[in-house]
Amino acid sequence: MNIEEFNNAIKSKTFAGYELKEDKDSYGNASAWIILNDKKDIEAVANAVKAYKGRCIVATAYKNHSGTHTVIYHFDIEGLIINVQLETDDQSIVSITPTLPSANWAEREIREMYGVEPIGHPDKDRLFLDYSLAKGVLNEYISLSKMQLGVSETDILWENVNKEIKQ
Amino acid sequence: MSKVIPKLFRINTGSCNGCDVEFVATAFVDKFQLDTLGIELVSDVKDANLLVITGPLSARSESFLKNALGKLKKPFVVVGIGTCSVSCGIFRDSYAINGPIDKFVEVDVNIAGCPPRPQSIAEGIAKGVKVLEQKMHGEATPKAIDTIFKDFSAPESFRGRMSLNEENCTACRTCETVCPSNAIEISSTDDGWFVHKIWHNSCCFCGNCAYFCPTDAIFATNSFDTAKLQSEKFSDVNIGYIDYQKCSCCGEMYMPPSQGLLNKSYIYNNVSKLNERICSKCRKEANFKRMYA
Repeated sequence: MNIEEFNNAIKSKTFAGYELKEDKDSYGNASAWIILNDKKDIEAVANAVKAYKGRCIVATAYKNHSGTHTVIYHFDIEGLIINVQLETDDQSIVSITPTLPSANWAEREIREMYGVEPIGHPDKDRLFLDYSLAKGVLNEYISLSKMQLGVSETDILWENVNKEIKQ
Repeated sequence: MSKVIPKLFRINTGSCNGCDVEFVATAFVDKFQLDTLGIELVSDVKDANLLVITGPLSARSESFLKNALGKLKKPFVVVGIGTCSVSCGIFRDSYAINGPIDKFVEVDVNIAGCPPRPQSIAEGIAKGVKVLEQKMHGEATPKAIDTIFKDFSAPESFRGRMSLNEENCTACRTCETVCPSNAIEISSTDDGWFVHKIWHNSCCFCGNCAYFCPTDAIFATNSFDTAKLQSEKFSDVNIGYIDYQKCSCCGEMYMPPSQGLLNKSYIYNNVSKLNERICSKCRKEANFKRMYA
């Protein structure tokens, strides 16, 4: 299995085209970066990964300054790492879990943390966040100082203290 | 009067284990003489009349606590170990926390600290035994109990309660900002004062405030006797007042720089005197004249 072979496999299947970059780490392990022009093409890529008996390692997401989200799937086929990047501006992606069950938790995580809905995902339940927390908590900006110090946002504690203080 | 035998049972209601480790240390070290109090550790809550609770009471442990409370011998005494028993500590405001424990049971003694020192735990349990004796003999619960263990000094490297030198404080709010346990509050009053409060029952003795204070106004002491009766729950506060001053030059009110800061900035004594009781604007003028007039 090499990058060229994989490229040939998805070339005819994808609809809107993509950009392919090859890379090698310091140990000589090959990896590929595929940037999709249309987010729907992820299905074709997933089908190709499945055909080669590959798996989804993990998927990551982040929110861009413009408000859109970038999702990156990381696939593994016999030790070859294929990273597929796609953009979404309507907070939805096509779920690849029906094709590759290994993407199940990663997609649910993206749904909870970033509010990006994987359409067609078989599981509607929350993965780890409590239902009292809103979807997409990682879209909110939390300053580093607040995160590091963990200082409470409420003043309930000091209100109690000030009420009972004996001066 | 018959001798009371306190039988101790311990419950962990979602503690981070910090208090539990200190508690075990306290129980094992002879120095704290828990055995001289006649305490017996029991494995069944049915036999216990001295209940020691650690942790902020997580939602999951609530039913376990309620179950244990129903089985206790009466009368019983509840001793809460750690800041969590007072205010839930760093876990407060979390959706997974139903505490503090005094929502569900009448707590008699709180031992604040994150975690408390063994001396403080020994003190709190000794106080709990006193309360138990009084309850057994049908006396009213006391409003205050004298410190039982007098030796609360620690080696110099240990951090204890924080204290404030009002003369050096400029109410810059650095300590309030860096405090991870929300134990420091600086508020201003209408008549030109700043009030600096350190709440010892929330403080975790980390010393961040002292480390970052630019004028050395806040500092750690060696004292850590934090065991208090429940009635004194919210009263353990160190209050400092920081005053505005009137400028001796233009007469306007201003926040003076601390003497410590002035001494650092002006190494010559006559210059330091020149800047006493002058607002920053007049000080700038005075120094400008001194340099260029």
